[in-house]
Amino acid sequence: MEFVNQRILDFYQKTTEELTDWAPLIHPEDREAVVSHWYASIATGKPYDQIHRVRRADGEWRWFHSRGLPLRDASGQIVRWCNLLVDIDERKKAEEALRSSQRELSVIIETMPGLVWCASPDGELSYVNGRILGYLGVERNNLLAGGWAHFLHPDDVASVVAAWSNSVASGEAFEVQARLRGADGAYRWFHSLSQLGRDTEGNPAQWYGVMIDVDDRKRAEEKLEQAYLRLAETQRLSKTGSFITDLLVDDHNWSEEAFRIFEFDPATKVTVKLIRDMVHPEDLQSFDAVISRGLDGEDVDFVFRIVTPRGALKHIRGVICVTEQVAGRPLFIGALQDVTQSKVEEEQVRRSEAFLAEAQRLTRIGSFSWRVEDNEIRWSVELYRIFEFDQGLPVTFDLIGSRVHPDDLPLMSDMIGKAQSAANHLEYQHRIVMPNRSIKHLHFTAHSRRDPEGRLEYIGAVQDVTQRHLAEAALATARAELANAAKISSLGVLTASIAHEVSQPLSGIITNASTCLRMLERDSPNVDGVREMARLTLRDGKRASDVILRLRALFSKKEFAREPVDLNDAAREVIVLSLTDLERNRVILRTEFADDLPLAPGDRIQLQQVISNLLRNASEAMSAVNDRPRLLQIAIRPHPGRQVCLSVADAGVGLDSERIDRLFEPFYTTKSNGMGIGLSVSRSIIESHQGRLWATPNEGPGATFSFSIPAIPQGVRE
Amino acid sequence: MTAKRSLVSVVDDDEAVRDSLPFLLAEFGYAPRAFSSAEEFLASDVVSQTECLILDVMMPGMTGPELQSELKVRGHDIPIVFITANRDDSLRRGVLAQGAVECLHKPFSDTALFNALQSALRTN
Repeated sequence: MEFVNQRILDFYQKTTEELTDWAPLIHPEDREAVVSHWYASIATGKPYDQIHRVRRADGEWRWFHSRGLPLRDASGQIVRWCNLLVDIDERKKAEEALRSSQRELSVIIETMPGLVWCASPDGELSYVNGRILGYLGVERNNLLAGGWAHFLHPDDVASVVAAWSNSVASGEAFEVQARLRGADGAYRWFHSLSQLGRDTEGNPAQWYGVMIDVDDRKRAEEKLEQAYLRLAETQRLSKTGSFITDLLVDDHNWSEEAFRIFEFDPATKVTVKLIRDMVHPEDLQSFDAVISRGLDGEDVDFVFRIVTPRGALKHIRGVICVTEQVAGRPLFIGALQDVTQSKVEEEQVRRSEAFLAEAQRLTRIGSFSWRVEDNEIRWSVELYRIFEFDQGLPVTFDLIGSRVHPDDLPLMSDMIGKAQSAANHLEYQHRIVMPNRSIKHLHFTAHSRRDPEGRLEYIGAVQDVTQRHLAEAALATARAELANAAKISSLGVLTASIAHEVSQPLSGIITNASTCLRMLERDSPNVDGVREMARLTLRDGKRASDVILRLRALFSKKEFAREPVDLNDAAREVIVLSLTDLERNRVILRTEFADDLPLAPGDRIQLQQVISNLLRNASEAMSAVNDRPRLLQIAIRPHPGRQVCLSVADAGVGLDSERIDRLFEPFYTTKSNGMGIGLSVSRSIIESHQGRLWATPNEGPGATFSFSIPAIPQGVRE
Repeated sequence: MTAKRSLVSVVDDDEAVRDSLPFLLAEFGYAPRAFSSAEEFLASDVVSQTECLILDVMMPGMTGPELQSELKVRGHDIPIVFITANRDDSLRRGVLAQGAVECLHKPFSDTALFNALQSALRTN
């Protein structure tokens, strides 16, 4: 250190000697670099050039540009170093401040929740921030080179490009809302804003733009709009208007539909008085009462009628409830529904129910429904009346059973059994006993169906047929008497005819004999006359004998009409004729007819007499049965060996196996009122058909009587 | 025996009666005539001479009671003895009420017939 100028000495406030140890004056961060460069320059002779900080006398660190040049002698030896120190602190600080502010700007641009971009005045994209790249999922260069239009939603491209072109051409601000496709392929809504920046001379410099993600807001708006549309639609469809009302200051905020219901212009200023003036006079009192209850803060739900300006009568249902207190006053929110249609329908339903009830009363038909699953039974008013139970009493089978005639209880269990096996149709005739011991005859029919939940239920009707039943019973008695009379009279006719046939020749014989005697008693007997009389007597005797022969031939008629008989049809006819008797004996009839039954040649009437006889026997065999259903089963089916077979099974007293063989003997009977010829005649009829009639005891109670007769051989018709 | 034999007519569709009765009537001393139907009798020439009519009830065509009425209409007041194989009492009462002398059920005895004829001819 040979020389230090005054400015340096002033700067450090040190002597030249003191400055020999200069290293501590260098900023610790710069010191090592300065020292090593300095010695490197001394060693190599290369010029020294460093920027670093030194401490001024007042302790402030200042930036200096330090440069050193070697001075050489003629031989090129370095004789001394000449160093120049320039204070560059002001400039250095300014540079730093600029760098710091640029860094800050960059942080702001990258951190702010927006997509920032710049473009040249002619619209060429020049800058995008990291958020844009991150959102779009592209490299900066690719974006700057490849453009941005293809990231737009196809529906937005045209409008955005048009707006941007317009802004670029005019320099006016750019503002659009558009959807941009993100890296995940989904579009989101962005609000894009851009302004053209100008330099100090006012020339266009850059477009500065920002895009803000408004997707959530946009979707919320869409939802809100949809919700509002739906609400309006719902109100319109349900004819329900809504309102918010402050009754104390008579302020009403009505929905569109509320106006429509009241047929007000939507601009109308609604007041309680305006509404009240439309209320039907008969409903005014209750309307006022409801409003005052509302004013007391009570929730109300009521129906009132209004007469609209066009003269229409409407039924309005109003629901009001207090929602909150505003400035100490209750605020009402509510709904107004036009229920005219349902009121009218309700009235129609009420009227048709009244008609039905009246019709049921007149015809004495009650109706019911019965859900099998849980035995839920519903009765019409008339059915309660028929059973003489108090209206609305819960109906159970126990309750019904308490009225059913004890003898008919098996019918009820049979019916329940059939219902549980889902029979399509139920039909019964049974009796019920009233508290005063009188008996009613009921006709019960029901059809199965599935309710909306798919559960089995029966819908049916019960008719009080007591009157008809009494008439039928009288008719049956009359018919039986008539039949008996016919039988007796036909016997009388037969007898008369026999008497006439026989008495004519007898009369002749007697007359002849008398004449003979008179002729012989004469003094001179008329022998020729006697001979003639004897001849006539012989003739008349032969005539009488002929009559007897003819009668015998008539009654022992061996031939019978042979025709092809369908045993199904023949049995059906007999069943129809026997129904009244079977019902009177409360017999439950089950039939089983055969399909494709071959015809059998025979005398239809005689076979029907046999069937009728078997049915009557079966029915009578059960007349004392009260502890089980009086079940009578008729089955018709083909029988092995090209035969057709009919069997009648009863649940009666059954057969004593020792007596089975005697059953078919003439005059054998187990019945108190029978002649005992039915089964023997039946058997002879079946045998004359080359068939067989037999009886077997049932496994359970009762017996089965069956017959089989040959069918027409296959392939033979008629 | 009286000089003049009373004419007694028999109307019956039964051949046995028509063959037998005339012999007995002759034995009784009457003059018998036999006809097989009411129509045949009405058409004959003996209606006005007949002093007693023995008449069957049931006949094909005109019946006995119908003939009884027809004769009344024509002004022939002939005593009638009905004979019938029918044991119907109401029929018997009916013809007696209409003025018949007697109604005999076949077969009848000769005495019963004779008594009936006697009372018929007496009324004549």
